[in-house]
Amino acid sequence: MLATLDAVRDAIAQFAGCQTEPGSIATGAWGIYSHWQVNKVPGGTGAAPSTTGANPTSSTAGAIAFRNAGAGNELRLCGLDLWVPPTGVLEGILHLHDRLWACGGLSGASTSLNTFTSAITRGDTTGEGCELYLEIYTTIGNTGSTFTISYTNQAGTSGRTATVTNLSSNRTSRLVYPVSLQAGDTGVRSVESVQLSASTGTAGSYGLSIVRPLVVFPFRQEKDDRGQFVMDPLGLGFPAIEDDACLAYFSIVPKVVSSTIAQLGLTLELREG
Amino acid sequence: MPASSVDDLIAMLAGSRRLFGHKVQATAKAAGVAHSFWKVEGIPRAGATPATGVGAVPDRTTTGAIAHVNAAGGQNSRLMRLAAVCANPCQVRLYDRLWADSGLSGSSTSSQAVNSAALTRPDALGEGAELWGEVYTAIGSSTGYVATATYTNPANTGSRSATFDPATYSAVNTVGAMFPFKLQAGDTGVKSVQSVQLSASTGAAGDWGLTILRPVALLTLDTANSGRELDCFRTALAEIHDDACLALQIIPSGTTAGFFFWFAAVGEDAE
Repeated sequence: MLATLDAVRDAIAQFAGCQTEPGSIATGAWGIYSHWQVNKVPGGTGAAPSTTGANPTSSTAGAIAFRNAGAGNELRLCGLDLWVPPTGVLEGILHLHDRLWACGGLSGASTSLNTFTSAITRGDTTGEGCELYLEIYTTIGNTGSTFTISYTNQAGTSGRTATVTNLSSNRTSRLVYPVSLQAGDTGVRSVESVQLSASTGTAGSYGLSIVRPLVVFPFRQEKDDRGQFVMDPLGLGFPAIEDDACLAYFSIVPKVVSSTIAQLGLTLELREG
Repeated sequence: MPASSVDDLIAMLAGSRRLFGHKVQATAKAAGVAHSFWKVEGIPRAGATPATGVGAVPDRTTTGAIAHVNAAGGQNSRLMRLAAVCANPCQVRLYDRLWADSGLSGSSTSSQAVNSAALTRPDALGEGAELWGEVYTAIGSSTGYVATATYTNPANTGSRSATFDPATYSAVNTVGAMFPFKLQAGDTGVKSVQSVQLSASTGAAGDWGLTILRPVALLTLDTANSGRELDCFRTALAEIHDDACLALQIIPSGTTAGFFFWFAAVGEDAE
């Protein structure tokens, strides 16, 4: 267990990293962007999940690869280094998470009910602390429509209803929208269905993702002229990395500095003990 | 026992729960005037206008509250980290909304009865609690009045007077504006509110209310669009009481609030 300073100091370290493809993320102000489809990792970039939903792992293309902890050990995030070229976006928010369940390929033009039967499978499977996002894989339309999502909360109560909060009128590929849970709910275990009230105007491809946040942190230009941002263990909070976790991330860019994020490199220091 | 070493902090951090949310671009407020996110959409969802009269004691399950989990038996919840980014420089305050009401008139100069419902977190005493006004429907923009609330302090002394004078603060007419009441000298909290009276009309009736809150943490975002954070030392492991109705308030340096993202981590230590 990495519950003491001695244990953290003596822990076995490994480094896991990835890069976002140059110019692959548009930087509309205050949008939340998923790097799933543009993440350069050894296994290749991520793809839109199946329409019925799946539980991605560390070996799924698009996930940041790492080595599971040995028997009797645990793995915790103890360091993080984010690099952004000086010509790129130099301030924003990074949301690192374990991608627990995701579906994709749903039509933005269909008002049919889309149903799912699978649930999260990793870590605390009650879904406590898990967040729900609507994720766009191929641009859907901007016509006003309501996404009605039925889910099961962390207490196992089904039939909960969630809504999507629009942060922008833009619904382009790679944008994600946080889903507001019903009052009092502190997590999501599974999603049962999603339905559009009307066509968005373009079919495109969208899906839903359940993620467990590991760390969210603001990065900014003035911290280091080279655009390098380092987080220490206390700042990160030693989040546990489950075996086979599908590590992925969102970025949130507060303002348009350029039309694209030129490049983004992320290195995680994981310690085992 | 409570956290007393770096090892304890590490254990608490390792077991902490993460909370993340945002608020959409909000209505413009005057620079330097506190702005409530209670009724602003996002995560958590927008809350409702509180009940009139005696008001209500919201909790973690009330729409508008940041949903969180109570500490396990024999444990206390502690704020281990708070980070935020806003489109405009501002001061961010995370607080526990202990009690709130609405339905007060901005044009009446009569005494308006309140007789607030009893506080519950962590007890009914209100030690360390603050009294604020909160605008739900725009009132008038006059600064030529003084609002006087009659309240009971934590020592159970009634007929205490708290005042708010916009002439020394700012006009607070817009929806979502919050304004602090100055407690009577020597008082360290608010147990209950009995009534409130305006010395003159604000210029419009509108709808406003009173809020008793307990501050949890304060974070200053000194640069637009650029985030800041408090680590576990700078939060001073602030306690979050069971069922706390966590909410956010900002004091913007400009006339808009803009998009707002927040992140927190909550750990537990023994009582």
